[in-house]
Amino acid sequence: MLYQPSLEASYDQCLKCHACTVNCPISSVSTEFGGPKQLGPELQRMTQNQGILDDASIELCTLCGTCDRTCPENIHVSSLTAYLKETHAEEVGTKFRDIVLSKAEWVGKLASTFAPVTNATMKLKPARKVMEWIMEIPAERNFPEYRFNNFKRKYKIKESTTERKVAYFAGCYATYNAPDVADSFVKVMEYNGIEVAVPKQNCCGVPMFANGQMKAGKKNAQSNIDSFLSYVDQGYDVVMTCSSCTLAMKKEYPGYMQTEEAQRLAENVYDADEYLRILYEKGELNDSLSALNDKAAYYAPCHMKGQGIGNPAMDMLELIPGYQIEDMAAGCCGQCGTFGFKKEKYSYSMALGDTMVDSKSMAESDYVVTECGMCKNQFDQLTDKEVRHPIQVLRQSYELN
Amino acid sequence: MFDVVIIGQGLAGLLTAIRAKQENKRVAVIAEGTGKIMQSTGFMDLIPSSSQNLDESKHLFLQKNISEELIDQSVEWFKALMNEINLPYEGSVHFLSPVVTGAGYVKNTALYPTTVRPIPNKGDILIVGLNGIIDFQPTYVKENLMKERPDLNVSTVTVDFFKGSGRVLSQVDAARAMDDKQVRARFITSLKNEMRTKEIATPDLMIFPSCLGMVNHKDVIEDLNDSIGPVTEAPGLPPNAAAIRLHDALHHYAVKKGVRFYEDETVFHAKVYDGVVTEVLTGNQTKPQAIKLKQLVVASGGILGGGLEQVSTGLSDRTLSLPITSEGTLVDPINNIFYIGSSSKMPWSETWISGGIYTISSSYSVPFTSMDEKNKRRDEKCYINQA
Repeated sequence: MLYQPSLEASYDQCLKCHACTVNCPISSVSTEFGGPKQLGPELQRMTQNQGILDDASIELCTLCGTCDRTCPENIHVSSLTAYLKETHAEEVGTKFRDIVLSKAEWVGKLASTFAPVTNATMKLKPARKVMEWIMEIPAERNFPEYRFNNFKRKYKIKESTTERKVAYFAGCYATYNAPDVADSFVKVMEYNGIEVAVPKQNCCGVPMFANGQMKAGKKNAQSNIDSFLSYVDQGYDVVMTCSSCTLAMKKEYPGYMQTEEAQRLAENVYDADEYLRILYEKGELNDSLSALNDKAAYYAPCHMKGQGIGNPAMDMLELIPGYQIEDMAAGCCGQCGTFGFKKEKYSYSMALGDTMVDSKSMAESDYVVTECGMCKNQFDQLTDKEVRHPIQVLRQSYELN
Repeated sequence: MFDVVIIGQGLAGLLTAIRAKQENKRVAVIAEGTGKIMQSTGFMDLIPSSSQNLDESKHLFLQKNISEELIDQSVEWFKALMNEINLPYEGSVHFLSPVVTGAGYVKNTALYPTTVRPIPNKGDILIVGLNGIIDFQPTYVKENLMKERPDLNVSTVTVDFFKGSGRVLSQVDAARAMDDKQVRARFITSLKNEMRTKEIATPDLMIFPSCLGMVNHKDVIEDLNDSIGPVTEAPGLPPNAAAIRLHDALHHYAVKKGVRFYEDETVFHAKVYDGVVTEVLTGNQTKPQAIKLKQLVVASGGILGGGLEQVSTGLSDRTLSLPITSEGTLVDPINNIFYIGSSSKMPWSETWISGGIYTISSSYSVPFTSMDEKNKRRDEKCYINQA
């Protein structure tokens, strides 16, 4: 199982203009990395109808999708690099650590069940040293905390009784690490007269794709497609709070799965703020937002930028009276999901992270706003700034009424 | 709903977005990719491949409803903006400056970044190559430069810089490496050693590929200047650091000012009611989205930028899918659509390359009207009415 036939048409548009490699966050901190141009269209061109050509530096690709966004010829470069990751994993195998990291859902279930112990252990220096030694996960790397009272445990509504129906895909992070984000989403929808249903769901597959586990990721994609399409068929809109899961459903599922079902699901998927913005434009938004005299810095995750929907978080937050928010206009955070947890990638992760936090608007802000839990993890590692999800801020504004 | 929607994030698109934001408009940029600044040299030419200054060529500009006054105003505005974003530009449209390119040719340009110095007629020149940067070959640059400037005394040197890499490296990679103080210091030491070995005296000017730092370019130039002597960048095959700095600085500034970027999105349709465009439809791999607007600026770069396509029947409009003339503009003009930069044909160019100055002035000529706010007082200074 190598490249998908439908991908072949796309790489031939490549003019070798370098836009992808120049903009690639990893290429900007590593000259060892082959870069998207070379590992995407060029390698594809070379190996078509020929043998497999592996390039170990593909391990450095984070699947952030900046290449897709910057390509002037509309090539989905990251699909090519994702499949090269699979090829590489099949050639040389996958580290035990990477298999564990790619199973975010499995880790989430386990870690949240023993939450107090997990969180305490992850803060113990000797334990982390052992982990660094055995698992090659740097001892100094910050880990998100796990919650025993996870969202799955406490929210069981599977059917919506309101006129507008929302099927919520929470994702592993809001389920196991930040149930407050999921709670806030449910509340904000409630303020807008929408009852949220939470269909059966698995990890979106992004950590698997990023670790070359294409087959496992596709299995998860298929189960999510089946589960959520049955809701779409009943008139539900699929709304999500995690930018990476959202991008996966919008772009990766149709790209990797190449099925009509994946495409049909993608057409009904919305980022939470994008959805609220639609309500606002239709005049359906509950606009009784109370003033918040906060000064926030917005950080746009790569997987948010990749959705091509502008800046819905700031569009919504700017509706709050008195609220000040400025885009940090920063590049990739360097956490990049599982990437930043790996010892051999840690220096790249830190180099990118240091650039990100070197921001005037962040320094002058009360807190940072971002959609991505992994970007938040990098902020937690590098700064003392509090980080909030835009939905948490909106909830606060609604609740002050 | 946006006041101004701009298609394309090349020089024309980004400048228009920034100026609209300065006038407190709600602004969106829709872009398929990263824009064509990346493929440029970073120079702002008056008329590409011509040495004529504005006095000699203004009849060409004036045909496009751009007054001489507006050109001066727009250039002033551009320079002020570039100062504000810490990437100052020098030069003038009235007196062009000779600059050297990465191929060793001398061309006359109007504006150039401060990483570039005009090339003199006489004196000692040292062309410095970096191993690993294959697009810039000092001996080749020298050969061409000597044809143009026979009175120069030119030496060449290539300095060890990269120790192996996983890809073919570009000037941008070298520029990023130069940002690091230690890397820079090591480089300067190697360059001095090479000069000593080859018995090259301190030159009047050193010519480098476009790689003198990405964010710390001021420090790179200062360090080279202090330890050896004056330097200039000679932008050549893309990607040039000069071009990437320009794109990054403009994009960053636009985002900070609140311009909304819809990237990896392609406009495929414009909805027109009563001779006015009200929204555009854009799509990527998934669902189309409608973006409502009051004013639409087409900065999609014409044939080179991908906004137009040359097909067997003539030009085809890839941007709005509306009937267009052989010049690339609408057969039936629409009041609130503006074509700027290379999105339509310039009178002087068969190549559809407009040059930086035309792009700056045509972008500046877009009046940000208050279509439904006619009663609001307009700041006279901000609008240049091109009757």
